[in-house]
Amino acid sequence: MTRAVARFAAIALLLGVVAALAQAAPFGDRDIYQTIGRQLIVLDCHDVHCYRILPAPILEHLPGSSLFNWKLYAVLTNAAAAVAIGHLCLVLGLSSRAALFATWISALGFGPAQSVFDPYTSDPVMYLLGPVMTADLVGGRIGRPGLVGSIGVLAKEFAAAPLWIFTLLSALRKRWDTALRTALAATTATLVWFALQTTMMALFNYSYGNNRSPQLLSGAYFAVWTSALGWPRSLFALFMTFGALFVLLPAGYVRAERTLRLLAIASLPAVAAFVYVQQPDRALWNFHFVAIPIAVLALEKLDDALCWAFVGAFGVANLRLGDNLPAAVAWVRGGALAVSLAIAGMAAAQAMRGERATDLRAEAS
Amino acid sequence: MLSRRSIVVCFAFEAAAFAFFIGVLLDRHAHQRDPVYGVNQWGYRGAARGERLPREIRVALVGGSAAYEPGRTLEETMSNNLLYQLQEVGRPLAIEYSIVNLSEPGAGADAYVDTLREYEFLGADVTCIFDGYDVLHGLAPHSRQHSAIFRAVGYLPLLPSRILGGPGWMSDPDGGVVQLLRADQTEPGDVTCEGASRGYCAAIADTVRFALARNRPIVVASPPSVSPRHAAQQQSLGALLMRTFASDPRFMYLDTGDAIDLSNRAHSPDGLHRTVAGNHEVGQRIAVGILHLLARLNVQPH
Repeated sequence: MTRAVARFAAIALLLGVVAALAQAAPFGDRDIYQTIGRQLIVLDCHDVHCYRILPAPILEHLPGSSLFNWKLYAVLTNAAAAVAIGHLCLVLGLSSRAALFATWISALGFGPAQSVFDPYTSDPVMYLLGPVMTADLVGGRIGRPGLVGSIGVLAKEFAAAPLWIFTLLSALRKRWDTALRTALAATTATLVWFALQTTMMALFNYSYGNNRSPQLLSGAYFAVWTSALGWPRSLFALFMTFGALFVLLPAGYVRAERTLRLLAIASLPAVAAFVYVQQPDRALWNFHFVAIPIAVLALEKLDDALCWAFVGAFGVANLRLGDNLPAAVAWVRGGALAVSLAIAGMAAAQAMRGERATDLRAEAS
Repeated sequence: MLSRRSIVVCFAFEAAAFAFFIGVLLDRHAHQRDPVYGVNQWGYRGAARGERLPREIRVALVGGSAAYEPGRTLEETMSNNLLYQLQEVGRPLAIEYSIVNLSEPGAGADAYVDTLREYEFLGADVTCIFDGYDVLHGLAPHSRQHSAIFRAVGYLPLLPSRILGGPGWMSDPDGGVVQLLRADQTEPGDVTCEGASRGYCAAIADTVRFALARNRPIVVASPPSVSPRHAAQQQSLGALLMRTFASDPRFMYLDTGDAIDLSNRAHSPDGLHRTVAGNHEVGQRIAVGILHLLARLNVQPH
């Protein structure tokens, strides 16, 4: 417990420094979140963010400046999410060493970097709820994550996803009773979300406006995003969401226990759905609570120095301090990405070799 | 720990809840599909629009059948003609005038205060009463006020009546001229505010009082006269209102009884309802009145 608090404090301090150094985000959803925060109900709102009624009203009613409150929220929530990832790793049976690295990888990943830079978003809440709910579900609790998910959908629709993922996971394990109970929790959270959407539309004349997300038959938001960026930049942006973790994932998957493997498989439909309807890179990071525990299984084969070097390089590669920074910063980030990829490659190779050796020993015996 | 039976019951309840909310979405869609003759989800003619545009001045039109004009396309109504006049004046000044037509068919004057209270959230800058001649008081059988859902949450459901094959809310036809005001009637002899229209006049005065108490400027426009008895009633109403409210600069009475000649086919096809040209004339007169009132009060767009 003390260790978790210390990690939380250290991460919060680090993210706080990044938040303080970062330039103001030049665009984003600040205005709409401030309006939601002040009014809660925005009549005739034609913006998808208007349905995300948490945590804006809380933050906008706190003393202090709006930007400071939102940055503080992003810092603290992302730090809590990182600690929650560490806890989830332990619940999933990973070593405390792997959990430590998972915590720091989560803290310095794409999602926190993005949301600390531009904090007017509900995303950090989702980054926190994913591991918290999954740890509860893996631990055999359904009621509490069901309640958390049902409240969490008021912040963003993703809060129902861990419940659906665990429903599918339970079905894959043929634990039908658990699957049935989790499905009830998942449908309840989804019903709350649907009720919120419908109520806002009927009583307050909300709509999705020109947002393409609901247009499922014409490519949804994925089509808008890829056509705006072009395929090469889109693929690069998607790669950068997890960056070097992508290199670790296959080796980690091979080393993972059955539960973690099934968790990854059970996540795929949700990954596809959210990447399709939301901004793909940000949507993908929501699944960090599945990707990071798998990735650290490969990373932990390296010694501590290399692991910390990976964490550092991974963090620098994701660092976002502004859009108009000197070219040298981009070079540093590029270099850090190369270093993290190289270390990840080494870790993956070592993990695969270790796995093959284990297989051979098993065959020999 | 829930039993299997309880889980099944919960799923059934959730399925019913999902079905209900899907029904709500379909109902809203049905509202949006009929912008020409129908009412929006909030129960009035025209598009539902709560949020204000920059530099908008919003007029709320309150009344009965004469203002609602059942069976007439939205485009042809007096309400829209009034809007066009205001927009023409507002455009060069970058002022965005809008109208929310809160009238309902067959509504009597005693319903107007409730209407203004119900739609206070729209934040109209000025109210205009354009009363009818088909009823003096009370509500039509399919008034939105009879909908428990509307009274509770402000949403007027449409689909249930369609599914059941019954008449929908706000579907009451124009009742023509109320017997009391018909030209061929002689009884009662006095149709003025001192006589048979006492309650009616008091209700209009109450509506004015309600608006002024909320610091909302208000224009009362008498409709074109449909009979000498109607003209007498409206003239006595005008006199009463002027006696009571003339000293308040936020009040204006407009006598549009002679704005058009209803016996002229160009203005009325049947001596009662107005043509588009007739609506244009009446709308113009009311627009001028509203603009004078706003200028007098120096009302600025938000």
